Amino acid sequence: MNRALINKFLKQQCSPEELVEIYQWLCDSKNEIEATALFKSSWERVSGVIPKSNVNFDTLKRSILDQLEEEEPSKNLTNDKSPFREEQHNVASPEKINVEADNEDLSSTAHRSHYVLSWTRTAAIIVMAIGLTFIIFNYFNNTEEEPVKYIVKSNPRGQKATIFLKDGSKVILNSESTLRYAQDFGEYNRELILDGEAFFEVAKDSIKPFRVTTQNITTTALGTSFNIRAFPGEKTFNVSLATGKVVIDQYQGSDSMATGKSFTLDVGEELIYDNTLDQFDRVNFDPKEALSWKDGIIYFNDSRFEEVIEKLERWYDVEFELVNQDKMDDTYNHIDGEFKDESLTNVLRIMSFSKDFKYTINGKNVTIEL
Amino acid sequence: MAQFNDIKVLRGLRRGSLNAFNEIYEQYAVKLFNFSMLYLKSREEAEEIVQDVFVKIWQNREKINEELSFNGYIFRIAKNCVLNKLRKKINEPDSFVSVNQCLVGQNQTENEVLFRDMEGLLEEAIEGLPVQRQLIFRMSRQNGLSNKEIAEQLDISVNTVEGQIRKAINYLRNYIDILPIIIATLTL
Repeated sequence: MNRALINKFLKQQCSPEELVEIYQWLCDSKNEIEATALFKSSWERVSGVIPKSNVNFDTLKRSILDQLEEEEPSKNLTNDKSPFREEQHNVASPEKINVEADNEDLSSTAHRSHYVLSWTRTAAIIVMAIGLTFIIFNYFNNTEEEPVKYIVKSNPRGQKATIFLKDGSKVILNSESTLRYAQDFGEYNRELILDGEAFFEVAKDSIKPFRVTTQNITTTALGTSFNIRAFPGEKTFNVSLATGKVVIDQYQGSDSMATGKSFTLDVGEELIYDNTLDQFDRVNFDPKEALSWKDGIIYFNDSRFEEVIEKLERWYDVEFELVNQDKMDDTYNHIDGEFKDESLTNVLRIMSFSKDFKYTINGKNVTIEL
Repeated sequence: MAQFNDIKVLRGLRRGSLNAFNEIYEQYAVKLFNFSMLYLKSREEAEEIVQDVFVKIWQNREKINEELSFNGYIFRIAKNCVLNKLRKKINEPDSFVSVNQCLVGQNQTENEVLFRDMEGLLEEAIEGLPVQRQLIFRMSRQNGLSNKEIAEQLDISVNTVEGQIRKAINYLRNYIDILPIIIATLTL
């Protein structure tokens, strides 16, 4: 790390040439950790005091809202009740964020920002694509040697996939889930990275353990079948073991220094990790509840309404909207049901027999009225 | 700046509430601008970062985990946006000509503090690694040894070295990105 240069940069004394050098240092994947530390320290230090440059944060906000509106025309934006429009009327009141008056005409500024944005977006997409490829290729390979190529399998909402791996193992990947593994998977090792949910049927290989990493937890198997559920945004991580044996290792807690709690699961057991509490719970699981998704069955057993909606959104690639949410109480929870290859209409129709609600399906939008 | 930790606001954001979005904008827009300015030295580009980050937050609002640090989440997006912009700038050296170095009003002392923060943060993060992994990471990054050299010195396989470094980087990245740092409360 070039301390002198970084210091100069922080004192804002770099020449343009030195700035290029700093930028190259920041972007070089070899320095990722040091660069991240620099970014993070400046992020924490940088003040929330409005700068003395001509930035109008209200105008800026409006152009962001304009862009969001453009991107989500489905979000009832033609409707007068649209939150975006409502906001635009309110925006005139001076807020904390109001800055020194910008002398430019507001509408023309907004227009210009907007133009800049669509141009930037195109550029950003290209840069992001390059950046992403770069990151994925370098992610596991901060070494001087040949970069490892990764295969990425990703399912959008409403789609599942079965993946046959070179070593003879089979993976059923749920919707909204991504699986990554090296192109030479099985040659030297069997490592995979999962975001979301998948069921693994692992071919036996006593030399190369089969390892699935999800965030900070690694599940290692020799020859088994198991299910992992680790959707970002859900606060728990679950591993359910159908056959064989698996070992689960935690690499770090996000806010504790604990490195490496380790668990061995037996058949029929499930390990639940609560992200928030950094707590592990070992329970016996209901195979139907944990595994039926891979056979195309939606299964609810005493499920909460919220859970049901999340599952249906993922399954059918729809968005739910709840009207009269204040009427929501515990009577809407405790939902049971089993649906195989049913249409969303049928699922909702059957559910509405036991729970009191009305539903309307309009393309990808489902409205539930309690 | 206070740590943004209002679960209610984040729940609102997940549901698509614009009030929640506004609150987050008020909390973070200026900070985000100043942060971007420090690196990009261009008002237009810093504004673009603010836009990009908030558009991303809105687009990914349903994936936000309100139980985790939002500060860490927005930082990670901001960092990635700035890095993307920097990569682009490297390829367009012309864009450097008009850099304005004095736009961010920070004085020298603060920046020295910042440098110490960075080193402290790095050390604190590395110390959280298991002993063996820590050693390998330091040999690689701080002593500049190649994986092969490390493998020979420690009498382990190059594969193991690679694996350990990869795990170290994974851990460190997460640690630094997500962890709300104590210095946040001492902001000048």
